[in-house]
Amino acid sequence: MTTMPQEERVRFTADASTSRWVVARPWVKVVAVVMIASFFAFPLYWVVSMSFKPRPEWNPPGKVYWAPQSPTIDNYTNLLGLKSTEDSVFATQRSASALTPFKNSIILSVGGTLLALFAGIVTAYGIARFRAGGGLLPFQILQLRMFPPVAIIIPLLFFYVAIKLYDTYWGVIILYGAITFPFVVWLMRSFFQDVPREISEAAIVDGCTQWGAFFKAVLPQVKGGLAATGLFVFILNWSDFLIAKVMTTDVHSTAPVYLQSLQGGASGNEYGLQAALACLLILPPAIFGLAIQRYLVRGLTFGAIKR
Amino acid sequence: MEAHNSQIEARQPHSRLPGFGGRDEKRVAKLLVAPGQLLLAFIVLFPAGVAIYIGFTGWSPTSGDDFWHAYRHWHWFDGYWEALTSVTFWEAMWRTVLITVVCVTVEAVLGFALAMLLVKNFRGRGLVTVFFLLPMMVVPAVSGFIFFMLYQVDGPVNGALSAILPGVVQIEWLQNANVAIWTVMTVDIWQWTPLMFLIFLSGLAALPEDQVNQARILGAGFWQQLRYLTLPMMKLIILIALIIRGLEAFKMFDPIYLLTRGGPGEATTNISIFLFDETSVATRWGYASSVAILVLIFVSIAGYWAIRPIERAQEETLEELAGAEARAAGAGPRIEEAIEAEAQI
Amino acid sequence: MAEIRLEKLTKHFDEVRAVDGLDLVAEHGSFIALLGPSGCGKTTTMNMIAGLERPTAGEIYFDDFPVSGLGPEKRSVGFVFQNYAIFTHMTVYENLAFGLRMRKPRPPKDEIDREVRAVARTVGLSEQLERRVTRLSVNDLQKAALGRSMIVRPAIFLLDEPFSNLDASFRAYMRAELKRIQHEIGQTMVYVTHDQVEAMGMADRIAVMDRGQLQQYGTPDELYNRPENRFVANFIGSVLNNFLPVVPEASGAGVVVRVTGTGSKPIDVSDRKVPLAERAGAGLPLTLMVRPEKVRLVGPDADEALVRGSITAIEPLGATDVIHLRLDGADIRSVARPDAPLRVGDNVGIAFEAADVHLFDDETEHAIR
Repeated sequence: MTTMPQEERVRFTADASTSRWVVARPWVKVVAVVMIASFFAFPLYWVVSMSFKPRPEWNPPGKVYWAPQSPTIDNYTNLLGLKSTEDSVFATQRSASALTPFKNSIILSVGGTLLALFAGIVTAYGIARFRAGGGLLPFQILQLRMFPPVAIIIPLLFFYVAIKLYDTYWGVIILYGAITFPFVVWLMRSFFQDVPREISEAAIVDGCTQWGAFFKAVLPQVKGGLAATGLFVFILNWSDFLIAKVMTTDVHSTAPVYLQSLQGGASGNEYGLQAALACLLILPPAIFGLAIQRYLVRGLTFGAIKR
Repeated sequence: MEAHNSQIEARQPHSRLPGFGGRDEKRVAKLLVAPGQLLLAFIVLFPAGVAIYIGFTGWSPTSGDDFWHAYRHWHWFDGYWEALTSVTFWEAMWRTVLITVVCVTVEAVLGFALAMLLVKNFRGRGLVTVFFLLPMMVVPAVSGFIFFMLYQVDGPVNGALSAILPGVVQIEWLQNANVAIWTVMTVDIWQWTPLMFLIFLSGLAALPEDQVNQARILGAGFWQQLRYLTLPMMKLIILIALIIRGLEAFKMFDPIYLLTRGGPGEATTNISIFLFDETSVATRWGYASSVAILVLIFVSIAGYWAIRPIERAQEETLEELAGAEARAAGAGPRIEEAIEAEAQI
Repeated sequence: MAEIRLEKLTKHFDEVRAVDGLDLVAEHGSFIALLGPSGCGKTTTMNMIAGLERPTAGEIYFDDFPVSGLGPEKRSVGFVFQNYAIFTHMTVYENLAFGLRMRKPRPPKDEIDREVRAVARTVGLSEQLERRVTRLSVNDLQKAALGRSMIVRPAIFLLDEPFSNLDASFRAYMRAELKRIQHEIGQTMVYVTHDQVEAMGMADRIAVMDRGQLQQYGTPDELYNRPENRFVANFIGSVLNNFLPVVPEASGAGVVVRVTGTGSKPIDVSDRKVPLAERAGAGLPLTLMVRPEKVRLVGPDADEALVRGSITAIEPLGATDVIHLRLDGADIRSVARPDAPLRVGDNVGIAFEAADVHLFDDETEHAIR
């Protein structure tokens, strides 16, 4: 310690006013957060408020209606075909209301989710418990997520037309299931890995078969994760636009495709109606998303970040 | 007789334990992954086979021949050659890369800054987090539509700008070819900054407090803590976030389609829109297949480079974990709490 | 190189008073230990000195300069955390150099290098400099943590249970090392521990804390020989101390106490201010404390035997044996040489000097002197 000279005494008599504790007031942070939050919230505010605006307030030239002046629920009733008004060009142009696309959206999303869950859970269990496919399989499955869906479904389109799966529920359900399957595998794998191996082994020792052990001992342990995965995958399927757009026609197409079809028709854009439709489309994923808040990041990072 | 009995007893527990023998386990494992494999084969192998086949032809459904007779239009690599020498294709590729890089960078920086702001607990944090969560939940096509409304020349964005700036602002967000590509990016940034925020928030919250305190005591200011402590310790999380988001941004389709359909002209046509147009508008299915194959090859190479750092980082992490565990075997503390959270991928 | 003065230092976490009106002066260049059970507020006190926590009330002075408005980076303190808080993504070298590299302006490379190597020599890490810290043993992590704080030559050195994770032999070694280093660099050191042996062995002065309050502040000798209250008496000492209920009574001009219910001989405590009720000549019950090492075992009928008891267990510690004894109604312990001819079940007489006896008021738990 010969290199350590005696220290002069008053190093800490630094100017107290420069300390960050004194300078950084909490309200600066609060203002910043509120500003950024409102920036992120504004588009949602706009679509909700638009859905309650009557036609003259939609997008008149030279004037912006920041809030509905004479709020109405006509957009919703017109959209769902509950009421026909002479005002609605829409009602005369299209025979079908938004009910059919919504029904299709639900059938296809639920079907695709169930398929992905079934295939994904067993694969994940195989990987997590038996190292099925070696260490590479999970990465191969992940790689699938990298391909632009367009590049995959265009060749599938010819194939679908040829084998008569084009514009059918089954055709889309299989695609939805396959596209979201990697998410299920990665998520469920991360949940299964949290379950101690001893649980299934104990069940087997108690006389269960492998299947029995899986259903009676392991699956109950990941109930929460399973529910979260299901809702998460449902959100993904519900959010699809491209597959339904390419693979279906009017009869089997989904609500997002319907939303797009309302854009730029002969009567111009049907903002109010579209906004109502958009709000209805946002609602289920928003509810489910908040319900599985805890698992959202885990889902979107393929289980890599567990919070 | 007694000997016989004891033999049965000895065998019974064994027969009641399927799955503990190696062969049995392998059989179960194969059975378990079979449905998934089938599904993958259906959407990977078939389309790949079809695309390779059709990609060698100039087939189009409007040519009069059906799918099974596409070979009548066989032309080997002409489709590929056309794509590789096509300015439109390369421009679409370039736009895809530009959109990906800009979006992911902005999202990461913004998300990180937000996470830094909100990492300390304060009243109303839950509410704010929910606020930031919502954009992520919006159906991408819907977010495209929402911004379509916002960016009308007479829409609220110009309205707000007119209120702040002198005169009437009439920016053609969607119609001006030089502006539109940036407009398109804002949708992705709006929608996915929250994901970055949440990922980084969980990463920051898991940083070991003592290390941060030690750095402060040793005299590290805000930027120094960030540069020498926070960022290096979050390396893996940041990498994961960038790669995952990059892959998704590369594929972007729905919002662009709802906003501009790739226009004006081809100003916002990325590779997804390009492929879609070639298929559904031009119906040049043979050519579209060649392009699809090219994109798959390109993505596979990019993906290989993208996943490698994750695997490497994970190896390092595992090593560190092993070291920490070996020490923890004594009375030592678990040093590596931060990395533990991310040890998964 | 600074005096630390705490004045009415207080920290509340919601309703919990972690630290409650603490007054303490650590002289320039001294080695102070904060001693107490977990939850006594010693770590919170330490964090406030370092600037990691803001006091609810009161003030901290470094050489008469109030510092509670300063952030930790401005206080020129060194802090060694219980879990070392080593930067896991750096090498040992980078860890040691960290404090210097944070200086504004940053010192030249060769100067940093010189300092790092000098410190590495001091703490004994010269061979491991280029290693990643994840490959270090716990002992080396401890050395690295120490060196990393030393290198910036803080005016005040704070250590929060730094040795609690080390194995026993290395702990003893590090204790001696720390003492040596403190002598060499001459900084004011504050050391938090719950281990009274560690505190007694290293510190110039010890502050015993319990439930956020200072119980006693003094040299190891004072704490051992003149505990101010029952808590301190109980906390200091390597073997479980002996507490016996006693009743004081007048005896001539003086005062004696007898151990309750054992028919013990009177112990003369006339030199203490034992309160006696005037008329009855007897006072309220008190508690007597005598350290096991002051308890002698004699023949059951010896004159000096104050009480009789029997041996219930013998616990050999190597250099000494701890003898567990049963009296009528109480258990006590004594320390004896291993070659003493004692067996479990033996009846023995128990003796100790009146001067070695500490008396405590049962109500206030304060010492009666």
